[in-house]
Amino acid sequence: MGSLTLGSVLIGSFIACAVEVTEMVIIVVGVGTTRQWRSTLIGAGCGLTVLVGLVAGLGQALSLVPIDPLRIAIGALLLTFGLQWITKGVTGVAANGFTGNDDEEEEEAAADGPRRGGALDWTAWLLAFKGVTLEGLEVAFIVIAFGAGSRGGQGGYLDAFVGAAAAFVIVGTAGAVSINQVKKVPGRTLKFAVGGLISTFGTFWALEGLGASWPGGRISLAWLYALYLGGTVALVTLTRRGSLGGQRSSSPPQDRRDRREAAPA
Amino acid sequence: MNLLWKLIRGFFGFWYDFVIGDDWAGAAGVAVLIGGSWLLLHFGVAAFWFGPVSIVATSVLLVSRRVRRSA
Repeated sequence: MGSLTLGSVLIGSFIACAVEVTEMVIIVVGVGTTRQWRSTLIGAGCGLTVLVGLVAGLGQALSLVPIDPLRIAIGALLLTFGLQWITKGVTGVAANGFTGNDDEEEEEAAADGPRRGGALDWTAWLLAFKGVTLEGLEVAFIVIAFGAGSRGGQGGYLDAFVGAAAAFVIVGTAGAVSINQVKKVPGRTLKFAVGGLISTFGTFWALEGLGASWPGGRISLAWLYALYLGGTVALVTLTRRGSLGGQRSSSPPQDRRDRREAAPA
Repeated sequence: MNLLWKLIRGFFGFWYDFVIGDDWAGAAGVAVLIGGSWLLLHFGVAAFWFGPVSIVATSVLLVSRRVRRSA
């Protein structure tokens, strides 16, 4: 990376860490909204605790931790879960549309496991824990890389750390502000969108861990997500037409709420 | 002994639900993605395209199997 001045260390570390923290926040907000907030936040907290322990215990030796096997394992697990959500999201949206609540959704939520209150939802815990640990490790690597590449000695590490901390605070606050908006979206639509997001990160990490290089680096996340969203919208259309083996639905379904309002008194 | 057995069953049950879920075809699709990408990279071929192709193909398979099951 060559020798960097302290100002460029702070700005570079902030920008690089903001990308990682954005991915972390997307996973935590997505999982918390679709599953259960308490378990998601406990999982994220445990991930941060493990991370702080690793950073405190290993220090600069952290850069020797082999991250590629972690990327493959976490990527593959995210994919198995993301595919399940895409499938449920597509069939749910094909049957009931993107907006409005319905009884099937409540039944499906109950079958999926606890979403609010009650026992700990281990699936939400694990997804948040993995997302925070992997992205947090990458943040730690960035701080070490920028700190080591600076001209300022120990001051370089401090500036890189301040850049990373600022990214956590700013992106984390933006994520917290967005929660109320995300909560208004119906579960099946969230599954549809978050399933695509989780699969996007899963594909990216698994292949990166295997050693594949993505054209454009992290910009590939954008076209991957666009491809998966486009693919799932096409699957909804095919399902409604009956092209995938089910019954054909002649028009897009009205939301149940709309159907109730339209029904004669 | 009963508690230990419940814990072991709970542990493996959780991972089975997480990885296999409602349909084993999803996990099989991910295994194909990992194995196929590894093979491509092993023979020096660019593999980034194989991941998205596998995921789109697996999604079509999973949705059609779910639709047929519920029809």
